[in-house]
Formats: sequence, C-alpha cells, structure tokens
Amino acid sequence: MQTKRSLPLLVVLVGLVLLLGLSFGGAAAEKPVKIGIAQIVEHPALNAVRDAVMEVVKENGYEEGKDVEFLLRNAQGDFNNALSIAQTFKSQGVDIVVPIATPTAQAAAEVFSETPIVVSAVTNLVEAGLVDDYSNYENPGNNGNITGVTDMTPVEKQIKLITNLRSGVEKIGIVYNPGEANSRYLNSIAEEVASDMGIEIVKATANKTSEVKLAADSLKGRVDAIWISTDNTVVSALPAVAGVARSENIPLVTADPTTIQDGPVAAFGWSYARHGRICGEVVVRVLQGEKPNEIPIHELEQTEENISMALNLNVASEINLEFPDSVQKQADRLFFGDRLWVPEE
Amino acid sequence: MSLLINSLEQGLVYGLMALGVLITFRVLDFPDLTVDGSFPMGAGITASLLVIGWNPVLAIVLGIVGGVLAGTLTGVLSTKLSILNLLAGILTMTLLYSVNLRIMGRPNIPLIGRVTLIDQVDKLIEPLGLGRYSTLLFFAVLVLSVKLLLDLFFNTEVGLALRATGDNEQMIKAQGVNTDSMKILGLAISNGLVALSGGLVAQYSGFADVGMGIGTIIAGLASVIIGETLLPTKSFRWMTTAVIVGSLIYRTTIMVALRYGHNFGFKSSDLKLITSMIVILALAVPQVRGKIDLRFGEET
Repeated sequence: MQTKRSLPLLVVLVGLVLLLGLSFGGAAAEKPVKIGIAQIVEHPALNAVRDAVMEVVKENGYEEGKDVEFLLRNAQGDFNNALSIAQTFKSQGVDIVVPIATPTAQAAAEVFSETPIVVSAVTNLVEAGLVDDYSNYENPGNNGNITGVTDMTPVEKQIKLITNLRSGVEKIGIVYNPGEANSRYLNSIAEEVASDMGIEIVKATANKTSEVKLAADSLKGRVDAIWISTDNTVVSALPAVAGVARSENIPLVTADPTTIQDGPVAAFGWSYARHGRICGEVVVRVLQGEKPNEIPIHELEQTEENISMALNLNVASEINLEFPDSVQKQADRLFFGDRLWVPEE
Repeated sequence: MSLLINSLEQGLVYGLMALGVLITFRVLDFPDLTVDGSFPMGAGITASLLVIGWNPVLAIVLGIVGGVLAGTLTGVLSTKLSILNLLAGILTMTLLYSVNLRIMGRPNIPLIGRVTLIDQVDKLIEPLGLGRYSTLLFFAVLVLSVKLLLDLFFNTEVGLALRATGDNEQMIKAQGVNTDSMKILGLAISNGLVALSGGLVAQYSGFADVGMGIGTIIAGLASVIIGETLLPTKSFRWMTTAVIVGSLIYRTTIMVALRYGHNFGFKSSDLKLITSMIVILALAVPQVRGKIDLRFGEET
C-alpha cells in the first residue's frame, strides 16, 4: 500500500526535477542581452519605473527580441519570492539585473557578485546595505557591480512649500507605514528640516492601506498641514488622507506629482516615470560597456527638467487657499475641473 | 542545475517552518497564525544581533528564544484567557509586527556582505571540496537533525501526551495530563522552529524585513498538505518526512513558475496563479488516480 501510494509523489518529483534539470542545457551563441527586471509588488509607481526602463532601452536602438530580452518578474508582495527571482535570473544567465525597490535589490546583491545590478526605487542605497557609500562602491558583499538611481525626494523643498502655501504653520502631520524603510529615512530628514524651521512634526502610522484613513483621522485638529512622502502604502490610499485634509481646511502636500488628481493641494517632486527613465539611461550605459562602478549613483538631479510642481485648483478653492505667484510660476501641471492642464510656455 | 540546488536549499530551510506548522495544525489541531509574526521575529532578532557583531550561532539561538516566547504567548492567551485559538494567534501575530519593528529599530536590516552562519559553515566544510553544494549539505544535515530530534521527542512520554492532547483532549485530561501546558509547549516548539527558519532565511537571502512574514502560514500549510496528500501516513516519523518533501515541492513549484511560466505565455503578474495551479495539480494526482482505480475495480 505504501509503495503504491507514493507513486504519484514520485511522478511529481521526477517531473519537477526534469523541468529544473532542463535549465542546464541550451545557451547557444549570439543571444540577445538578458535584462532581468525584478519588482517586489504591483504598484503604479513601480510599474511606471519598469515600463520607463524598457522604453528608454528600446529608444536607444536596442530591439526587443533581437538585441535585448526583458525578463519581467514580480514577487507579488511575497518577500521570500525576491530571492527566488534572483536565483532564477542567475540560472537563466541574466546579463543585467534591474531590481525595483529594496528587498529585490538586496536579494539580487546577495545572489549576484559579478553581474551588473542597476537599482531603482531605493531611497538610500547605503541604508539598504547595497553599497558602503556613494563615493566608494566596494561593498564586502559585491565587486563593484552595483549602481543605480536613488529616488531621494527633495524633502526640504516640500516642507518649505507648505510654509509658502499657508502662513503660521506650526505643526505638520505625516502619515506613513513604519514597515517601509524609505519612509523611515525620509521622515528623519523631514524632522530635521522642520525642527530647524521651528515646526513640530506629528506622525501617524498605518501598517496597511486599510489603516490609512484611521491614521489620517487621528491627525484631525492636531496639525496645520499634512505632508506625505513616497510611502507606497499611504500613496495607495491617498484619497483617504486628502479627504481629511479638505474637511480640516488644511493643505496636503505630497512628493509625487502624479498623485495630484487624488486630492493633494500641491505635489512637488519627480514622477516615478521620470525616475524610471533615468534608471533606463544607466542601464543603457551598462549595455554600452560601462562598468557599474564607473557610473556614479545618481541622486536624481534636482533640475527643473526632472522636478515637477503640480497644483490642484479644485482643492485650493475648497480650502480657501491662494497660491503665491512664485509657486504658480513653477507649476507645470494644473488640475482644474476634471482635467489636467499643462500651462503653455 | 544551480536552480535545482537553490530549490532544494529553499525547500529545506523553509521546511523547518513547515515542521513548526505541522506541530500546531496537525499534531495539536490548533490553527496557529502566530507564524506570520514569529518568522520575521526570528529573522529580525538574528539580523539585529549579527549587525552588532554577535556570533551567528548565538544570534540564531536568541532568535529561536524569541519564537518560543511568541508561541508561549499565543498558548497562554488561548488556554489561560480562553481566547479562541484562531484569534489568539492573530493577536500575537499582530502585536509582533510592532515588537519586531522595535527589536530591529528599522523596517529592514541588510546582511549583504556580513559573515553569516552559512558562510562560517561553508568555510568549515571547505576541505570536503563540495563547492556550491556545501550550503545544501548544511541545510540537509540541519533539517534532518531537527526532524530526528522531533521524531525522538514525540515518542517520549511528554511527546506522546502532546500528541494525545491534539487527538482527544478529554481522554488525555482524564489521564491526569495538564492539556494547557501541553498546548503551550507545542506552540512554543512550533514557533521556535519557525523563528529558526526565519533566522536562516534572513542570512540566506541577505536581509531581514519586517514585511517578510506575509504569507508564511500559507506556504507552511501548503507544504503540510502537499506532503500528506502525496505521502499519506499515520506515523509521526513519516509525517515529518512528508512535510519536508512537501516544502521541497512547494519551493520548487515557485522556482518552476518563475523560470518557465513565461514560456507558456504567463505574465509576471500571474505568479501566484501559476504556483497555486501547480499545487492544485499535485493535490489532484492522488484523487484522479483513486478514481481510475475504482473504475478498474468495478469492471473486474
């Protein structure tokens, strides 16, 4: 009986082993360069990065299927899959790894010690243990094979924007997920900047999107404005925060201009599509033969071209806020009525 | 080939977690959701201590202690406060999220380039000339030892009483066994194993993240059920074997899905669909086979 029952087990085992064994063979000459893109979770910002990277590579004359092959993998929120993705990339002989967000980048760094890794959507590569510091790429765990683009956002300018929009702001509220490494880091910067300006930061935590509304509610009556960083959890539930800000007649400022339709009065920073494009440019440089340790880790340049200021006129009129001239001049996207306007030069 | 080695490594290291789930779900008949919190707890404690320069073995042992405490808490909530089993686990799991953030001091601790237990063992057995098989051997020996220890323990007097608590609580109570203590003990052992698994996974994948517990219980249950479907048995020794086999199959399916899903026209967003389908397929095999046998029997 025991042997009879274990027959299906044997069939399944042999099948799986055969499938994996196949990964052994193959590898003919003159194959396209394999670019493995590892994403941690489905998220509009991260999807935008992924699409932009592919776009830029193709724009630079690399034909998909002929010159380059994109291997797209998504851990679908399961951190343990991040390692599995890196390991399958290795077995498939991926030539360039493009991890999007911290866990996939760390898993890639653990698995690949020679293959170039171009990291994106990580705010601080040093905190993430990917490199020792931005000037010295030699990390004990890698051989200078890691470079990338940080999505560090201009926190100070965002806090100053808030004080520009409303005078007499004494307390700024932040809703964030304490489980997100990037948020923790950005908050620490915000606190530093604010304390220099004599402003108090009031924090409210939300561990998941369903808790964002509650966290925002807890700020009612306690703050004069709300600031949201690039926190993935909170950005996913931004309308909940925007609702609280409107009902309290206080300005909500976010770091991602693509969120302007979700209800902040102003958003200032770069879009993740732009971030992805810069990352794509780094991938192209690696394709052209540059070594990762020769490409400085880009802190997205805070130039006019990269940064965008989006204003929401609907919300502004609702909370009786008038944009100062300097802010209006800087704006390159206006949301008014139900349309997004791009002002003419 | 390297992919097969990686799959086996993963199957073994997560197999420890699956063994923990076996103890609660099957032996104690206690649906324990603590594991989604005790897994990152083991990872978090181990990583935090490694970063401040602790010996990897001690770091892992302290991780296990964390898991044992977490399991004990769930046990106490369930037995002493009479909180519904499912809820007791959920409560502990939920509070562990904040506790883990406290322990780690940050949401994510990188271990890339740190000397881990795996590196130390690799170095130790280097003279054997195993090359890339050394991690696999280490995990295999470790998991086998844990399995044998469990087999031994569950045949001692206490171990048998623990199993009886899950089988027939009233009967064993009548024998004068304190079933509350048995439950707490079982949960403590279970979550200790889960934390051990978490501590090893952190070192194996190069980071500990407070979010890495999500889905632990699902993977654990899948391993237990795949194992017992393919290797149905009543003997504890075979149950532990089956669970490890189940874990190997589960991790291999994820690798297969990641590696070959694309060839069959699946998109990256289909990952969870493919892994679930492979698991369903594995579970369907014995069913289909049973049907064929039956028909065959009727004809003759």
